[in-house]
Parts: sequence; structure tokens; C-alpha cells
Amino acid sequence: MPRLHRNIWLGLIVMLFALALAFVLIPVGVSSPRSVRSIVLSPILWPTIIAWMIFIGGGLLVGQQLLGRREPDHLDEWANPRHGAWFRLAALAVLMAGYYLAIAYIGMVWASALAFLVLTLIIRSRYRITALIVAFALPLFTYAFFYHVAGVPIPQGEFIRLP
Amino acid sequence: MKALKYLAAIGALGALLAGPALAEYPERPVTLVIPYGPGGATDIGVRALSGPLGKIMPQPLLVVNRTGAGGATGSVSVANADPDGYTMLAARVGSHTVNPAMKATLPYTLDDFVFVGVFEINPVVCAVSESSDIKSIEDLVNKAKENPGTVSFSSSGVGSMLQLAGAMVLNAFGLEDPLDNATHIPLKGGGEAATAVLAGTATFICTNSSALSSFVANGQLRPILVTTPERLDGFDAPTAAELGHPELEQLVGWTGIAGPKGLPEEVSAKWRDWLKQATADKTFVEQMTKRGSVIRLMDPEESQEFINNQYETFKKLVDELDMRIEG
Amino acid sequence: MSFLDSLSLGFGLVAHWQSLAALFCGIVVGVFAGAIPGISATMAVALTLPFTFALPPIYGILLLLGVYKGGIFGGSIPAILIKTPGTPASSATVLDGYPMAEQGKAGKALGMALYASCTADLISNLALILFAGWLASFALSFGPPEFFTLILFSLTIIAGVSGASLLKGLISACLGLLLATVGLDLVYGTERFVFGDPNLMGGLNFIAVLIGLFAIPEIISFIWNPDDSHDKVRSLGQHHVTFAEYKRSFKTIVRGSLIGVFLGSIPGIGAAPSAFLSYSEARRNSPRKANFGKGEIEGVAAAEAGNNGVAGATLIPLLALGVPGDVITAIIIGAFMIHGLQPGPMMFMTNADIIYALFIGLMVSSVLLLLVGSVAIRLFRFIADIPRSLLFPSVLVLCVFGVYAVNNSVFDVVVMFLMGWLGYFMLRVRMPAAPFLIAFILGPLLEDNFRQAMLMSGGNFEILFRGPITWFFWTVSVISIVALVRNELRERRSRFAEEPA
Repeated sequence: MPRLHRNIWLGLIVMLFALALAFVLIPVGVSSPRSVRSIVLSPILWPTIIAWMIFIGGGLLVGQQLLGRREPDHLDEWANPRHGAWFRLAALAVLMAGYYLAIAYIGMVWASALAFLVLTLIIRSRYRITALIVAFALPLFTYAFFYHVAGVPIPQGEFIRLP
Repeated sequence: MKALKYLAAIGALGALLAGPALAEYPERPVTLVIPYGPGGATDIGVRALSGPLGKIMPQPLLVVNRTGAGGATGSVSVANADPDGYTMLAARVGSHTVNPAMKATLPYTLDDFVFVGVFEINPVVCAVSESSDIKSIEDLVNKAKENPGTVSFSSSGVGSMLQLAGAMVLNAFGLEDPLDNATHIPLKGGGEAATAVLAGTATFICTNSSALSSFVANGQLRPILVTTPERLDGFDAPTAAELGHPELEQLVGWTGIAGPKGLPEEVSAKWRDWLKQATADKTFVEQMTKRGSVIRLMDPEESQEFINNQYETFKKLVDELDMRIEG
Repeated sequence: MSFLDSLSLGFGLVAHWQSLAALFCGIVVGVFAGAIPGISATMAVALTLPFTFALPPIYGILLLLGVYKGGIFGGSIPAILIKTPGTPASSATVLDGYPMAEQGKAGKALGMALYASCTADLISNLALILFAGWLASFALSFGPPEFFTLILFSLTIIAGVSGASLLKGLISACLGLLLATVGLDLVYGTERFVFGDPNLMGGLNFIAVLIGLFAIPEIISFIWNPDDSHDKVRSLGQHHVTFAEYKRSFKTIVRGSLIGVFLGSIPGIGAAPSAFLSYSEARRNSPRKANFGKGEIEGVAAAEAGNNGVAGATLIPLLALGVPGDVITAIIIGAFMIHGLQPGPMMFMTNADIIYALFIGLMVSSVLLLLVGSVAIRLFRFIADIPRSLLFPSVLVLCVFGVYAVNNSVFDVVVMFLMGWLGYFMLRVRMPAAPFLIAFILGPLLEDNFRQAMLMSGGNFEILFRGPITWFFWTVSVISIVALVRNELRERRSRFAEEPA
């Protein structure tokens, strides 16, 4: 896809989002009490202003692009990634979701160790042995610091409770 | 809401199952959640208490702040925790009587908590700027009556004790419709609220004496009312009872320790003992008194009654003045 | 008591090895705590507070001040090395610090951050000592209308950090404004975009948004194209700041310090906006404007001068009025009160010795910061040598721990992840993240002060034009917007002239 189109797409998405915001999200998500005395004090005013600013911003972006005032071209540093880039992104998304869920079950320390290992697998790091050591040492050390020095109760599951 | 109830039910079930297995509470460190940010009145009071408390408890006490939504975020996290005594809450007047009285949609109610003790009482003082021509509460109410809309009071946010206190005092001294005739200016936090009176943004403020003591001592603010039964050291102002309104004595700040509903009796008893010893600690009492707090430990029954009374008083006022927060 | 008497009494109080030790410990704790993502300077000060109960007041307060100053500098270390600001105040440091690290100039960036911090610290302390009374009375004349206009002016910073496309910067800022509205409404206490979830009632956690927006997209980008070959460039981090570079940035540092002093002496603004304002002013005045955001050393100097300039100045309202300027000074006031000291005008009479002792201690702290900082830089610079395929997984784990620790909430971890994907999307469509962040900080202040002003006046807009301060800020806002539009047009014209597309 040429760059020109990308900004137009972006502008359209932004405009669509602004409309959804103004007509769906704000009416549903922001409650306006009946005791509001004047419009300048209403909780709805500010989000509505923002929604229309976003809309105008998106519109201008499309307009700018259509009028040919495109941004200077950059070297696209996103081009030519290593094979399987989209797959890796999807894997990372799954990893993040799993990481979050795992915290509730096995605690933050072990979840972090697992996440670290899986991430180095996704990256296919050359430093396998180091990765294995760091995967366990780093969360344990961080845990020790936060729990024993800073007094933050790091969540733990029932699986191997740490002192 | 339904999901919450399920959670609560599962939690209660968990407690039943875990109950007998509880070897000797506490087996591991106990977390005490402060639902307000570091540096606030609650935070300093509880951290001061955690000193002696930590020495008495057989396991470490982890004091953590969980800030947000006027104390609601931290409170709800404890309400939903397992009632095993390992997650406790430092409950405060704002989060546990004012907010529940004002906000029907709050994700917790008073019934979701079991109090093990109230340990600190903060007298409430109303004050105006030293440069203002208001010398007494009478002047203030007269000004509001004569020029509606010219009197304003600052608070640390909607649903804070400061908001309720301002309205309650004006109402008690005969200003009709205090919400229409005086303006409530919410700010972000107690420090900002006091500064607003100093800078002339608001006319008066009613808040804990500890938040105002240095301003009064420095001659920047002038106290016009205290809600204690007796006059308060360092505050040259009449008491509510002297002015014929002893009902305002209900208006006091407090801090207490609470656990989630279903807290085992054994845990509650332990905490009562610990609090009794900790609040007897000399340096703790000295520190807190210097800050203008009154250290008074109530046992669980007394605490519960005290809180319920205050809640009922506030609720009546909220209904009367239509201060309910919608949505 | 004369000035000299107070000074000598103060000197008597502070001239013990204990007070130096307290300051030193404080700075060490602060620098290391600040360097850990998730432990902000605020948290570090709060955690240190209980230790001061047992100390004599002057040592206790010096300890806290040390932590504060160290923490603000410490935050710049991870901001430069791993694009994860340790404290909100160092988010502006990321803009040029991280690109410098990418080019293998991590040592240079860190060095400049340290020198700028110490210089700004010194200027800020001097301002405190010399102008406390005057600046304090000025600070009290700031009510909601004045704040509103000041913040309106500060929002023009967005243009300075928008990079190539001002329009995309503005959209990004609007998104920031929008996300900042989540939570409870200030005036009515009603819910905005909470959708019944109690976790959202308190709004989105600032640190979670910050780290999500800066650090996580970096990890995702690396996943997109994992490649250790950059390592050679990164590990060439042995450059030091030359005196010429310091001299070149000196004007910027002084300007940033003064901005910091000004914003710091007004309660309620904080260090992050000051850093951004200083950065944008530096960029506006620099002959190397185009290099800002791509690893310009002056950008690092400006950001760090801006945030450290605040540190001494926040003590102005504290000591002169007893008013806390931010959360950190609120904690420090707590420490004063626990020792039976009541900050405010009276303290200059009753406890002048302590005040002067503090002043002397503060001056010493700038020097100590320089020492501790240089050691810390040497210790932390090795991070730049870690292979990226190990560094990024480590950053992920550290961010999760850190974001959790801020508010003890696993929900914040989710916020961070989601913001990370948003940040990655923005990176891909070349939408700058900095405007988002500035808007996220300033947006609520703008709205709140506007509504407070409206409450004060009963809905009358005239209050927004009361007094000379509001007029001043209206004027400078208009001037900077006009200048911006003119610049934008001129640049566009010259660009078209160069490469007719």
C-alpha cells in the first residue's frame, strides 16, 4: 500500500471513532445528573468537545492528504521484517493475555519466569542458557526487592509460595 | 453486581472451608490496604500505627496504598478479598460513612465489612481566611442568606467528609437549601482544599483539625467552629454545643481497621488485642496527638455502632438536602 | 535574630557527619529507587518516611529531601536506557535520551542528564533561599482561573513534541485528553466511561499509561523484527559529555531551571509539565531544531533541568506558606508535623535555625547528587550492553512488577498491556506519543480548573479574564499559537520549494 493511502485510512478510522464516541460511547458511558445547573458544568461537555476535536483532526488529516500535502517520505523501517512477523505479534498478544491470567493462578513470580522463557522462544534468542538463568533469577530478585525491601505484597498463587 | 455477589459467596464458602484449617492466625504477612494516597491524613495515621503494630504482630504487616475514587478503589478491593484476615482495610470516614451515604451505586456497602476497631478520632474545625471579614459562624450564615451564591466552601472531592461537613454546618445554622445558596468547590485532595481558602478561591472549609492546625497557628486561617464537646487546644473557636447545635458533634473524622464480611471471630479477637497494645504505645500517641488526633480505641461492637450512627445521621442529611450522587 | 545569627545557628545544626550521612543515604536510596520502573520518587519518599520518625527533625527531613532529589534524577536512568521512565517527571527525558542510547551514546545522555540535574538543582535551591517569600506570595494569587490559563498555555507544548506532523500530534493529544476523563466526575461524582467496573472508577493509572505508551511498544517493535545486530551500536556507550557540549547546553539548562522554579513554586503543577515545557522551549530556541527527538543532547539537558528545577522550588510554598505543592511535599509536611514543627511564616521566626540548616543542607545535596549520580551511571551503563533478545524480555517483566507495585493492582498491568498495543499502533502510523502523555497529564487539570472557575463565578466567563495573571497567559498563549501557525506554514512552503511532490 502506498503511504498516501495509509494516512487517509488513518483519518477515516479516527473520524469513525469520533462519531462512535459522540453518539454511542458518551451517551452510554457518561451519566449526566439532572441537577446540572448550567451546560458549562455538565460532565458531558468536555468529552463531547474532545470527540468533535478528534473528528475534525481526522477530517483534516484526510483533507491534507487529498490536497497532496503529504508528509515527507521516510525510509520505512517496518519493511522487511524477519519471516513470520505477524505470527510473532499474535503470539505476543496471546502471551500477554496468558501472563495476566497466570498471575492469578501461579503468582507473579512464576508467571514472569514463564513469560520470559516464552518470549525468548518467540524471539529465538541466541543466548539460551543465559535466558534460562535470567528467566528465574530476575523475577525472584525483583520479588525479593519489592516484597522484603519496599513492602509491596506481590501476588502469589498456591503454587510454591515464596517466603 | 451479580458477579460481585457470586464472588462474595465463593469467598464466604472459601472462608468456611478454610476456617478450621486456620492453624494459628497469622501464618504469613498481613496486608493492610490504605484506600488513600501517601501523605494524606489516613496514610500518615496508619503508617504511624503500623510502627508499634508491626512489633506486636508475629508476622510482618505490609501497609500498601491503593488510591482512587475517594477511597472506593481500595475499599472494594478489600471487600472482594478472601475474609481470611490476610487482607485488611484502613477504613476512613470518607470511604465508609460519607461515600456510602451519598452514592447509591458504590460497589460496596457498610455491610460488606467487619470492623475490628476504630482507633483514631479527628475533631472537625471550620475556618475562614484571616483576611476575611467573617468572624463567626453567624457572620458566615448571614452572608450566605443576604447574598446567595457568594459563600463557597472547598472540599477534597465529591463524597468527601469535607463536602458533607460544609453543607451540614450551614444547614444546622439555619441556611435553607445550602446547596443552592452556597457553592461547593471540589478540589483534588485535602491540602488543595485548605489552600483554596487561603488563596480566596473558597470562603470557608470544614475539615480535620490536623489539616488546619499549622495554618491556624501561623495566623493564616481563622477557626470559627469546632465540633468537639470541649474546646480544642490551639483553636480559639466556640464548640458546636456552645452555639446550641450539639448534633454537629456527630461530625468527626475517624480511622479504623476493617476486614471483609465473614472475617473469623478468631482474627477479629487477635486484631482487638493488637490494636489495644499498639494504641497504648507512648510514641505513637505522642506523635498523633501532636498532629491533632485523639487516640481512642473502640472495641468492635462500639466501632460498629459508632459508624452505623454516623452513617444514619449522614444519610438523613443527604436525603433531606438531596445530595445524592446519581449514576 | 539577625540573618547571620540564624545562618550560624543553622550551620551548627547541619555541620555534623550525621546530617551529611542522612543526605547521602537519602540520595543513594532515591537514585536507585527512581531507577526502578514503578517506584516513583513519591513512593520512595513515602517508604522512607517511617524511618525518619526516630531521627532528630533536621536529619529526618534532610533524608527525605535526599530521596526526593535522588529519585527525580534516578528516573532518568531507565528513561534513557530502556525507554521506561522511572518517574513521570522523566518522561520528557525519553524523547531524546532513548534515541541517544540507540546510537550508542547512552553514556553521554546519562552524563548530560546528571550535569543538567545538578545545575538545575543548584539554581532551584538558590531561588528557594533568595526569593522564597516573594515567590510564595505570588503562588497564592493562583486560583482556578489563573491555573486554567497557565495550563492552556502549557498545552501549546504539544506542538513542540509533535515531530513531523502537527496534525497527528493534535489527534494524539485529543486521545490523551479522552483517556484522562475516565473515572469519577470532579463536580458531580458521577461515572465517566466506567461501565460498571470498580477498577475504572479511580481513572487510569498514570504510570501504567506512561510505561504502556513508551516501553511496551518498544518490545512489540522488537518482536516484529527481532535482531541482535543493533547491539554493536548500542554497546558503544563509552562517550562522555565534553565541556563544550555542556557549555552549549548551558543556556538551555538555565532556562529549564527557571521554568522549573516558576512552576515548582506554584502548588499543584508538578515536575512532568515543567520538563515538557522546558523541552519545548529549548527546541523552539535551538538552531538544531530538526535534531530534537532524534537524539539531541540539548533535549536531554532541557528535560532534566526542567524536572530537577522543580525540586528545590516546591519547598517554597511549603516553607513560606505551609502549603504542599505536590504529593511529595505533602509527605514532607507530614514529617515536619510529626516532629512538632509547623511549616509556614511563623516557622521563620520560631525555628529559623532549622530553616537555615535546611538551606545549607540543600546546597550540599546538589554536590552529593553529582557524586552519587556519577557512580550510579557507571553501575547502570552496563544495561546498554545487554543483548536485546534478553533485555526486552527483562524489561517486560520489570514493567509488570513495577506497574503492579504503584497501586497494588493487577488491573493496572492490563491497562499497561492495552496501552502498549495502542502505543505500537501509534508508532506504526507515525503518531507521536508525547502529546498524548502531555494531554493526559494536563487535560484533567484544564477541565477541573475550568469547572472550578465556573463554580466560583456561577457560570460567568468573565472570571477567566480576572487580574493581570490571566491576561498575561492569554496573551502568551495567543502569541505562541500565532507563532506556531506561521512556522508551520513557512516550513511547509520551504519543504515544497525544496522537493516539489
